[in-house]
Amino acid sequence: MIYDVMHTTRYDYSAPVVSSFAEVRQLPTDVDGQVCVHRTITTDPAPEHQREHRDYFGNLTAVMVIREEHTRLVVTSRSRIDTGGRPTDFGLDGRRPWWSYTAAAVGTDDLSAVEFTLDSSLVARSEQLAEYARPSFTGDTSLADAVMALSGRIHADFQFDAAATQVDTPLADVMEMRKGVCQDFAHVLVGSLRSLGLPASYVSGYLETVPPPGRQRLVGADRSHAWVGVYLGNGRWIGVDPTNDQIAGPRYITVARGRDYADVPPLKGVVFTDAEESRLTVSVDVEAQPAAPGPAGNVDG
Amino acid sequence: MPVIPTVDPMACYEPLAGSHDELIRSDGGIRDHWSGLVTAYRTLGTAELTRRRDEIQLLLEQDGVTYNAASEQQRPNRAWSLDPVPFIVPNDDWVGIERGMIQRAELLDLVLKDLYGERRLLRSGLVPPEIILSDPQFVRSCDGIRIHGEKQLVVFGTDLARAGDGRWVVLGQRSQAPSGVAYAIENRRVLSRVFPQLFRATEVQRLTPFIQALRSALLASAPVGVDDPSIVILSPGSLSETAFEHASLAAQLGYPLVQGSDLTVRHGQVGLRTVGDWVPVHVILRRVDASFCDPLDLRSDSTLGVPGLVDVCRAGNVSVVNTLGSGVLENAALAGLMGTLSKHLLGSDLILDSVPSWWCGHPTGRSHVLANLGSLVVRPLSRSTLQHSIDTTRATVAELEHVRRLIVARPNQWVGQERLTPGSAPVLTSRGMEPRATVLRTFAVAHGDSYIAMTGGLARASTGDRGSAISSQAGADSKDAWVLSAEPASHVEFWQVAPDRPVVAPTNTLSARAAEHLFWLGRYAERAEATVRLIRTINARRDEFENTSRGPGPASLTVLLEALTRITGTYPGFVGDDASSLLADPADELFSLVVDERRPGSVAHAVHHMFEAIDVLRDQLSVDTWLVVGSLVGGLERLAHSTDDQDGSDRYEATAAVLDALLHGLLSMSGLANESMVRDHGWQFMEAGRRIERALHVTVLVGSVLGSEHSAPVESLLVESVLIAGESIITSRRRYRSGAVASTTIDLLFGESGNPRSLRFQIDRLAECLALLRTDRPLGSTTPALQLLAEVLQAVDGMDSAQLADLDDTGYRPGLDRFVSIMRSKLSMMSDAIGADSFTRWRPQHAMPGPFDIARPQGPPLIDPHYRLEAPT
Repeated sequence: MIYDVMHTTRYDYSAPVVSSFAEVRQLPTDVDGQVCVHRTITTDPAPEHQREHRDYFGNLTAVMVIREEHTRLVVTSRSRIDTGGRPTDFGLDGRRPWWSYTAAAVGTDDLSAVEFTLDSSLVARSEQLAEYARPSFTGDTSLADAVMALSGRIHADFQFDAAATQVDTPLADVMEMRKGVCQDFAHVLVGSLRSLGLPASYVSGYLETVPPPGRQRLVGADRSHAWVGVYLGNGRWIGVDPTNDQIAGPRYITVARGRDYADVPPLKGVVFTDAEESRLTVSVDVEAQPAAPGPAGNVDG
Repeated sequence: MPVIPTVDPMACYEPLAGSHDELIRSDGGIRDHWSGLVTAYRTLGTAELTRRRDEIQLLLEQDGVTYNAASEQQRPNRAWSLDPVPFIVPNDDWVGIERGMIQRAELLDLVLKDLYGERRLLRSGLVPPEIILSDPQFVRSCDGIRIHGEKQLVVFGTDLARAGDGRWVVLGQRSQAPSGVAYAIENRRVLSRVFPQLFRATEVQRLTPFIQALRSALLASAPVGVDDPSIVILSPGSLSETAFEHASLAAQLGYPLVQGSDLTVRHGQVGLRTVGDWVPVHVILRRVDASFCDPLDLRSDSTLGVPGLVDVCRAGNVSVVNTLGSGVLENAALAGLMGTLSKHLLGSDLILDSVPSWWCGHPTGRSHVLANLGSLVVRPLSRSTLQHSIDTTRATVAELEHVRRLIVARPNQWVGQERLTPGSAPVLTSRGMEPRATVLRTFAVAHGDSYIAMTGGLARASTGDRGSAISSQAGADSKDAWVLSAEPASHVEFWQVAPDRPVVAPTNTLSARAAEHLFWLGRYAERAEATVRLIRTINARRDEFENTSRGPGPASLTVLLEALTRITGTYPGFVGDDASSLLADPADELFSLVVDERRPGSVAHAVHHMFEAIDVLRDQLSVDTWLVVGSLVGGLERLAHSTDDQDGSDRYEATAAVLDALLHGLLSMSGLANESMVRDHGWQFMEAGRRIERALHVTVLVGSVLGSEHSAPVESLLVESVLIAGESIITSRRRYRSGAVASTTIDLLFGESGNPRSLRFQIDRLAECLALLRTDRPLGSTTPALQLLAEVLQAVDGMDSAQLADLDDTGYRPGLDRFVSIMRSKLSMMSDAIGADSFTRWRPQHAMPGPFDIARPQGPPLIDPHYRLEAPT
């Protein structure tokens, strides 16, 4: 599939901001079988300085400095991504017994296996998580079967509730409440896998939403989404989405990969202002394009 | 000469069994390199040594040497303590220490490059990846950042101690921002001054070449293509633990001392906010922990950093020294791998061993540590965690169980280290010399493809029994470390680092923050002086009319007391509802206006703010300024605390003495400012502050004392009091004999351009300051401050003293009142205008909420606004 994505983040402040510094991770690259055809990022007011780099985890990251005084800041990223090459299942890679994928079994030569098995700032391993995961990881069950079984259980056990958690709600509380948003679902799966010694990453990106039958697609009603990368070794990952209990196939667009949300927020920053209040408005639009690659379509939809 | 009986300071010296002693050999004899010193100390005797110890403390206090040990008090400045007895390192020992330390620095430099580069050490398993990857000091956002120059580890420190067999071993290594260099140099300065003969007689290697080496290293690390790098020292501020060291280093290196908010990123480059401008910075000597250095990339709650700094490092436009990721080398488990790493990376054995240690993340290490709890020190893997090291030899059974649980829960986070009792060295106590466990911190700095060591260091001795902790936080005595020369009687330097380029101080590097503090220092100094003069004038009147209850004397006193409240803004005071009882017995209120530092308008408040400004400006002002203001603060504090057990008259006399001392101190401070400070931008700001404050004060003084009609005898007393408080009585007597009246006083204090206390004089000086402050402006252009100055000048020029002195039907001087209120408001506006024009307007820093907070509406978290001096009341 080919998608045009527009991601707009708008801040309104109650008093002028004299300078804003933003670090943006909204630039998809050629990973997980997708190809990024083009991508741009702009701000209004325009940045005084802008620079892109690959972060430690390989994510394309833009640092933008806005020095024009403003009470409203709009950050807009646009990209076109071809997800045609995205794997739709674990394939042969996931057939071996799950324990052969643990960091201990892989060894230090593949540093990613170690890196993504350790505790991170928002996801710490725990006996509670291991216990939750264990029923799906018995004997020589294949990694694919075990992970999908666990994903199914999380989907069944946890309720999607945007009001239940906050960005920094500890994982242990989420386990207690059994409620949360995609970020929490992803953290639960990541933490469960890590607690069994399996490397897993947090993936930030987009998902094409399909309108209910007979209804028009609403522009800008899409959301940033998050799911889990299960490590298959040698730098390869397969995406699993516990919120929707499915493989993150061609309808998913990968933007950034990290140990947890804290590594890859789509936008974080620092502002200098006397303002006491700020209002944040985010709109995401994921529009599928006709299959045949042609000239750029109507980006704004 | 009379024979002074001395007590042998060595009489009680008993080395501790089982550990190495610096002074006494195991056979009981005195070590050769100590014999000369021991003879000298015996000749001096305990009494004289004790006297010199007091002298040392006095010198350290006068230099404002402090160590801000973390405590709950607001201003936890603790005087630095220095033992009179140096720590002696024989040359043979030093050669080994130096080689060993440099070898270690070279090794750690290779490790640092690998960890932020290819990470082969981790992939190969030589360093278990978990050790590094789970250490918060491994800063992932600094991956791939390289500073210019061969070495990535630029400044390096080691803590060394003697094991029982006399071998030197490494207790710890410092790579984040090793501190102690300036303390070591200060120790040397003071000790060589208090023991000049002893110092000259002993061939001691010098410390100061290290500063030159440090300067060269900073210059060498500047980004490629920068010929004349501008360098700053980044400090967390004057409340930080080692604030003295930051300021002292800045002063010795000659680089500006800045805080995070003084720096800002523009066009991809870090620069210093100066007065009305911004100048690029190429090298930052960092004394702020890495995680606090950039709220954009690192800790978002830090207000000590520079947003975007990491990205500028990435772009190679600034070199931060030590690199932001260097703290990972302080990892406790890494210390235990140094031997292996040395063989692997250098192909040689370590010259200086580390204290044996075991990482609990490895099963054998863990079982060893758990089996030996009770004899080991258990350290957290990373220095950045909140956990402290635990000495299990001093732990109770319950504590041991707690440690065991901690280790079992997260084994990879703990390291067990053999508990070493450092060898002892002589320390002067009240009983003479006694042996105390001592640790030596040494320093090395990158130089070309290797390192240069400081020939000496900072030794610290435990204060209590041999088992107690040795750290500056725990209050250890510091010692000057004397490294003996190889060839006695030779004064030749072993090496000397030639400056790479001539060092020329950059021109416009006065930070806007320093300018602001200098301006307020000037204002508060003047305010303190003016208030002291007024209170002294009032007290003189009180003495004069002590036994009189009616007549002109008491009536004039009432006017003066009311004016005091108005001038200092210390309402309600002598004009509030309780005024009558306060006027009847003004002692308590007057005392409070002297000593209560929490009361804006009091003398102590102004002095306290001067002290705070000087604390921030340590690198700008001479040590003498510190000395003067420090003693003023001390005098006021003693007075404030000495009251309870004193009756009124004692307190009154004590207050009078302190006021005298204050006046002397403040006068010597302005003398220092006039005679010892270069007339640079900084001086002009201080002068402008002083002039504005004096102009305001004299205006309000005249306005509030002479504002209304009184009987001729009262008016005469008031005129005289105004002239005394306005330091113009002598001139007035000379000029008008006894004929001074309101109009002549107004003339002398407002319009007389030759009177350095007059309003007119202040305005003329202000005009000179303002002209010099902003030379960057196009000629003939105006600013709000200049505009206000012109208006003030016009008002003073057009002033008619007779008209101002005119009384209306209701007994007031409406002309004077109008003039005073116009002048007061214009002068205050001018102060604000100078600030708005030249100082940075700090705005609170907030973190942007992330998009996932969308369903969780919340304002930006409030972070404390930057520290500011408060505006005048």
